[in-house]
Amino acid sequence: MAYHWSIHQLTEYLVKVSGTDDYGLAVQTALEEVAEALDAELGAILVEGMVRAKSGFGRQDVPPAFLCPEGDNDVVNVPGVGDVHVARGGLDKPGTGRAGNDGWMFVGRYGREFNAEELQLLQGMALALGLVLHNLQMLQAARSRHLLVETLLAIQKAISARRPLNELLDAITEGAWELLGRCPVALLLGDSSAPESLRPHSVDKFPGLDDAALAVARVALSLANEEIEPEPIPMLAAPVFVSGESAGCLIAKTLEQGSVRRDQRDLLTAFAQQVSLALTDARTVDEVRRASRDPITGLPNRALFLQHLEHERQSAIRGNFDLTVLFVDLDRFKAVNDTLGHSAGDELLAEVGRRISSCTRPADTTARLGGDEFAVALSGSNREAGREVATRIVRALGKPFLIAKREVLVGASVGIASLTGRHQDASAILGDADIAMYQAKRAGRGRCVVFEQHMQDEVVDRLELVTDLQHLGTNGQLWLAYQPVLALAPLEVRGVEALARWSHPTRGLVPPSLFIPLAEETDAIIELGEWVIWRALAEASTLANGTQLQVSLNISARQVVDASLPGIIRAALAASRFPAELLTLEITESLLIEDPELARARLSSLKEIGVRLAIDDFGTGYSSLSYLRQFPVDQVKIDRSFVAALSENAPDDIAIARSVIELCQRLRVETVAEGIETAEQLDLLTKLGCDLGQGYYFAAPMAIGDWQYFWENTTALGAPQPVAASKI
Amino acid sequence: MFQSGEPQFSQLPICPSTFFAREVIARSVNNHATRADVDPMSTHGEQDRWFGAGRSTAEDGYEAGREAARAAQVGPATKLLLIFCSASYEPGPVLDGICSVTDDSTLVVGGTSMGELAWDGLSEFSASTAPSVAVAALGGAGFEAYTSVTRDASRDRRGAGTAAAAVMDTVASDHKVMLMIVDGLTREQHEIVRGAYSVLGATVPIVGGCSADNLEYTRTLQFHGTGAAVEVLVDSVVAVGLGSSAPFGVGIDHGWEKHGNPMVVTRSEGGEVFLIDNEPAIDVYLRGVGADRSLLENEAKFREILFDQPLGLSRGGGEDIRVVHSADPANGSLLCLADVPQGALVWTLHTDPAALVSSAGRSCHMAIEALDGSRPIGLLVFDCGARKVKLGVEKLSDEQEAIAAEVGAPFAGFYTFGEIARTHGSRGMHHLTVATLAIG
Repeated sequence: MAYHWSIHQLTEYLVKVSGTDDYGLAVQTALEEVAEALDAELGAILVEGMVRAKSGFGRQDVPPAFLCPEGDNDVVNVPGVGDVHVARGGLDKPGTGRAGNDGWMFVGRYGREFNAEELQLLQGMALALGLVLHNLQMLQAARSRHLLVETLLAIQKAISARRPLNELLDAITEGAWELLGRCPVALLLGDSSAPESLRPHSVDKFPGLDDAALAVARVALSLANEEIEPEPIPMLAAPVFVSGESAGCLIAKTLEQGSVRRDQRDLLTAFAQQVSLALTDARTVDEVRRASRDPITGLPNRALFLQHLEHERQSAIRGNFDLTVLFVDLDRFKAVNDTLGHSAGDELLAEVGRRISSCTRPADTTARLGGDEFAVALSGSNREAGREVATRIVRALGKPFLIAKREVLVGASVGIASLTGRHQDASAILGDADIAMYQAKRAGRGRCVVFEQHMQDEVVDRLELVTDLQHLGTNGQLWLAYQPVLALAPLEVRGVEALARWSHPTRGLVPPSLFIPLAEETDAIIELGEWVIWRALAEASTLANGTQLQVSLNISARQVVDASLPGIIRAALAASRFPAELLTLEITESLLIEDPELARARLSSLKEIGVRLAIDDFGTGYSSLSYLRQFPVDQVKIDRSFVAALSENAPDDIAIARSVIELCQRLRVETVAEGIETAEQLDLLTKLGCDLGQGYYFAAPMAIGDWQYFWENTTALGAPQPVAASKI
Repeated sequence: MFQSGEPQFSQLPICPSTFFAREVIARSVNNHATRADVDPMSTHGEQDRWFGAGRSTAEDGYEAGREAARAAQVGPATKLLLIFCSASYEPGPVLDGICSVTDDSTLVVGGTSMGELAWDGLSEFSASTAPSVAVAALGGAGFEAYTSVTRDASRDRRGAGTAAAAVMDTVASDHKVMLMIVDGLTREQHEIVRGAYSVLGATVPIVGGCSADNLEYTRTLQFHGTGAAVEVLVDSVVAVGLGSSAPFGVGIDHGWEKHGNPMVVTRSEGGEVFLIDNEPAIDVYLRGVGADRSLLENEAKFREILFDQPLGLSRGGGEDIRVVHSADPANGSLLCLADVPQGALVWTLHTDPAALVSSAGRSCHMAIEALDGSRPIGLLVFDCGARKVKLGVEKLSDEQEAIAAEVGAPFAGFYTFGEIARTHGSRGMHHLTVATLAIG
């Protein structure tokens, strides 16, 4: 039976060659099959000018003559084998019509020429290989793209999942190694624009990375930086950047050249970009982490605390367990900061943070909210447990601190709030703890107070008042009451103290003890204070009615600090034509203590106007009498708490009052006793030599309409009579 | 002295340094060429190379090994012993016997066989089919020899061949040959040979055989070591890099002819042929030999048929023969020891004893002719085990006598599970063939 063995050889060959999806293996298999089918000792496949497979040459190179026969069965001498007949077939892409365009398959046989059938078979096999390789390249390109996309996606997922940076960098290096056909790949970190600074980082996939290889890598990097097609050195490098600054490079050891090499370079660049991404992200995370920490104490800041608290809140709701928050406020931090300086203050805060943390469990979160405020989140703790922790904290912070080589007593107040269904978010719980802390402060420092609903109501109330305080001077609700100030020996009306009063449309008369501190907490005090100055001076002439009546005004500390105050007073004096020397400005002593320099400067500029200055509520602060000498003060008003204690049965209090009055006399400072309510007090103060006095014993503060009546009766009497006027 | 059924030497103490357990020799032996000491003072007259062959059919393995090894070492400073040991022996005692009469520095390689052949070139030739140990020995300053072993060959056959070929790296002589003993059950041994060829190329001939058992197809062994200790291995490639001051010649012949119409292998995996001409391979084959599936019930008869009519694959340089060693009726497949590629064109082959006998002579003739006119000092024979079955006891003597007559010098060899010989082209793995190496 006639048959063409070569046709069946071709079938067998095609099955074998197309049985692999590995380019290199397909080429090698094809060559060996062809050589065996044609009983040829030698074979070679040339693609893009490179020998991609050889057979029968052992370790020797394929002689150039073998790769360019002049015709079929051309005889070429191959060392060690002898004269062989060489034939070739082109691996053309289908339809190109140009033989050998895509490469050649060569075979060489010793001693025997290739016959026509064999040459035809060779052509067929070469063509078939071309076809297989073409499909394989397309398949591999698709697979490579797929693998690349998959690998990059996996890396990006890992970056998003915030895997540890080293793990990410190793994974990226391994990904590059995998996609570059497992040729050695390593990551070097350092400044890639200064190659000598580069140090190996991920090197598992680059066995034997030694100094010599590093040197080649540096050359590769310098070539990569120049953006020219590098000389064919066996190394590729792709620089890594973080926020535009060079941070290292990814290197790969390759042997490929030409278009394959360009592909590899692009691939390496893609992975280098992933490294850049991972490093940039890690840096961002680090910055975020640093931004969420308080640099002084190292504790979470308010934002991070709230974030954490919200997480705990949700967990507590889901898991039905308790959550309690402590709001810790230092009691005397400002004094430390002012007297010992800010660095001492920072030192104190850091120690406070440590002490608070030492009172909590590891699972609890301590944070510094800002200033001298701290907070603690106690997961799984109810209010009673919270109170225990709070007590421990108060105790711990109540002990002396050694700051700037000095012992400092600070103390703290703690507000406690536990999660309830009412708390819609973290700040709601913290807000309640804040309110409780405020109550603790008000109750007298160094306490722990558990939040109760009525506290919230008070705060709401307070907030409403604060709102209503705005523009108080212009809405007609504010007015001035006047309380007479009398010379004690002999008793005669010497002056009047103007006191602000607020008639609220719904609340009625709001006590000054309530709204003045509120106004002082907000900017409202400036406006309010200015209104008082203008109104008091406007009414002063009416009050004086041609006499030398002294008018006293309370000036808040914030007003004194405000540089515009002297100008306002000058303007108001000018407008009212009231003599400056009859105006007394009362200032609280706390101002003198907090910033003596500023106080002295401000008081001096007020004195220049010609007004008199008085220290109000003397004795409640920390200043000594001798301290007063530093300030241009004309009058000292002895606080009502001292006056109230005066009686024949209290010799100590009498001694204190006496020393104050006597010292003031030596300093030629006038004394005014506040809050005289009894004849006994009046008698004692008169005996002690106190110059002036005021109080309900003489008259309660009164509306200007009542003043006229009081004035007339008092002057008529020559000596004051107890006034029955309603206390206002 | 040569070829004796009776122990002719007094029992010597068992060589304590010979081991059966392959774990005993450190893995550093792997792929590490070992060079036999060069003896600069050959006492063998002017001839700087010698070749000897010995064989013993002693029932006691130790005795058989010792006798054969002693008989083969006809010169001083033995460089290399090639051991062909019947699978009927326990290899440990055989190797102990060999080592007892062999220098520690002598390289020892070999394997199990399903028949051995040897002649000292002097005595009157007399073939024997009894289980035996055959030994070939080479010595003299004109030879250089290195050996290596590559384990777990089936894990990466091509890689094993490539690794084994490294044994040639240090061979400096003008004339070189690589000898290979490969496990006969490793399958697809052609990949191993291809691996070696990919390194060596056409300039170095490759000759050898696949170790065998007595057609149980259960275990074939390879030997590698020195006169001090020999390791017994499975699934390995034992290689010898042999260099000589005189040429080597390789011969090959089979004596089979195509019979009947060509068929196409339409489905196969490795050595298992499922479909021929789109029909179950077993049915096509049985029909071709004039039988049906009832033949499968008679195993002896079926095997006889299989060896009678192997498959031949069409190749440009001639036929590539595949022995079908069994069939799987459930799959309808035929099982061969070597691969039968899908798409291949196949025939059944047939032969007769006379053709087989003369092909052995032709193989030797071809090898000797390649010595450029000089006479061989010895010859190695790698003869297919299936040919032994086909020839039968009677005709086997004819074959061996034909070899002896053609060679006229000592020879040794064995009946294999596959023959390795690359003479022309690049194909080196053969079946149902006689491969020979003439040593000039």
